[in-house]
Amino acid sequence: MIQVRNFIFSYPKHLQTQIAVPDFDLQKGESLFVYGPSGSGKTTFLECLAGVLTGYKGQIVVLDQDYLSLSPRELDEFRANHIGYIFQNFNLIPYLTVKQNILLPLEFSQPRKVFYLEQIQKGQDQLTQLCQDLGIESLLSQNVQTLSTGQQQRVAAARAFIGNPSIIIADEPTSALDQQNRQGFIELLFNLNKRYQSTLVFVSHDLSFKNLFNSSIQIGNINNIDKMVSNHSEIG
Amino acid sequence: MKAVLLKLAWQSILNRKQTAFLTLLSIALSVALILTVQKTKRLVQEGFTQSISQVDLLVGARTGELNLLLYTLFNMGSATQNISYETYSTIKNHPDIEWTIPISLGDGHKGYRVIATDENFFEHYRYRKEKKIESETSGLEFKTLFSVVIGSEVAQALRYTLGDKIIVSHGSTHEETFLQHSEWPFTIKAILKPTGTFIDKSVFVRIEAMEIIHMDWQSGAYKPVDLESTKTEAELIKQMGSIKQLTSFFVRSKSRIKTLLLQREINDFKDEPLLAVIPAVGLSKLWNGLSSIDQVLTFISWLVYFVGLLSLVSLLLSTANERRREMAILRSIGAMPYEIGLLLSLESFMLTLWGIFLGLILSNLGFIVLQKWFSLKVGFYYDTHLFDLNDGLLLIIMLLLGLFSGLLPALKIKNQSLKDGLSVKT
Repeated sequence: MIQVRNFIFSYPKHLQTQIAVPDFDLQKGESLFVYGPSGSGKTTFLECLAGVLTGYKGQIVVLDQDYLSLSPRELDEFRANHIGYIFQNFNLIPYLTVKQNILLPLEFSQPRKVFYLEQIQKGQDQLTQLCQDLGIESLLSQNVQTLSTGQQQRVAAARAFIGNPSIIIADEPTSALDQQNRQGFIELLFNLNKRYQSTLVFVSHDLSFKNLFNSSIQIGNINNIDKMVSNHSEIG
Repeated sequence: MKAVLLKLAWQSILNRKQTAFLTLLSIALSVALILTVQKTKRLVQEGFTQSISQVDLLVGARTGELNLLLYTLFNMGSATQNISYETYSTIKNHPDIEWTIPISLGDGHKGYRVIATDENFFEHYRYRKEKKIESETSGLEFKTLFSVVIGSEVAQALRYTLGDKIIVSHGSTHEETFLQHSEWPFTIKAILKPTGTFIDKSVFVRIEAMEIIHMDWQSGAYKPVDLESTKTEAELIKQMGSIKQLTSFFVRSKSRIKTLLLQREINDFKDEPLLAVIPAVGLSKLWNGLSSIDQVLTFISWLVYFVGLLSLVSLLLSTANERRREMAILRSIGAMPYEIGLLLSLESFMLTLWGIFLGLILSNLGFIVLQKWFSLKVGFYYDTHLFDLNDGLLLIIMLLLGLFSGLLPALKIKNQSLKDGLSVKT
């Protein structure tokens, strides 16, 4: 499903800071935990994995597509069709309702829309299903600005899974939540991942979740590796 | 283009109702201003050029060209001097002249101007190229001495009908005076159809009748002449003798080539200082004199439009930073950078489009009011159609300018979003 080889990224303006990612393979239905301290380049790697950022060395192959062979336009289309993305916070378009936010990806991806409509023809409304799973059925017509952070993150999860994309990328989705909500949110993500047989890439600097995932990798700044390792205990 | 972008643009504008509405309003007002200036310009121009046609020369006592045109046609200012009827008779019989229309001015009726003339006026006068003066009532009776023909507006404003008797007041074409020719009532014999020219606000009497009612005033003060009201018209005309003077007259020459020669001949007339003006030339001079005002107004109204567009640009630019997050979300969903730019362009396009639409409504509403005022103040020809092809062109130019100025913030936000990718620190 996802293969990453020899990934190194250096910022054009700061050539001395290089982000290195260990090689890994991820199969359908699996989950990956990506960790590393703040500023280690986790988000940068996710942007590459989502096809927004290019200019890295090495290889990213997703669904048998080598990203290097795709144009920026094709990458955008690929992302629309195959990737659901959850941000750390402020996930929602402020001027749309909860329902409009959740259904928005369908407007940008024909395959996801087709999937959604086929499900409805089979008598299964994925929107209702997701909202029930996430406990946000009562919020659908609400303005997103009235939601709590926890509710916002669950709406964002529903949006990521709508139309059943193959890959879900979550960039520290729990860091804005309090301790109680974190556990619950991760469980919800795992349940949905299981139900829709998607592949989950989850980024956090909070190592306590590490054991819930099939595999994990650490991202680091090559030049700061030693420092990073020595700081490890503090982060955990 | 994805239909969702339209929806997003619409929702985004709704989300910023207040600022968006103010921007919309400033565009609408400037559009209304431009359209109103253009329409006024058209109205004045048409008023000038379409009030009179078929007349080759306008002749009066020697004065300024514009003065002669203004007081004869538009009731602005007044004649400084009259010309003698003798001179008129001489020129009238010139072999190159086809017809003449005598005009004698100076009196009024309840604020409307009395024009003393003869039946040639109704026979030969044309406005808007070919249009002949027509009577709303049956026939255009102007034969009897004390008959009066009134313009449509006079009839409407003063609620006159056929057979009503009216009194002419002495010495003013603009307002009621104390000096009334009350011993000489006129009978309304015809009411004219609306023309949209000064004719609508005029009261027409026979030139002989004008002379007769002024017999008492030969020295400038009222000095009753011994008259018996039982006298017949023929006897009255006999007592009056001949017509003494005129204000001006219209001339139609037998061929257009002769007009210039005729003009020079009249201007060189030995017995009396005269001035002959070609109305079309004079009116276009008059128009040119006014067109600098029109240019300034047009310039100012476009400036105002640019101010409106600036407020549109600043509205979009000011939100650029707070919308970075929104753009990152759209990118994560798969929106391409050009779609981000398109979304912003659509927002400015929608605002401009509605602004223009609202401006169009405002200018037309405003114009209905202005038109009334204009036609009350000046006897200009005015058209009733509210939209002109030129307006359409202007609107397209304004729309394109709006679209163009919306590109700047759209490009900025697009580029910012491309740079931000998915990571915006807010």
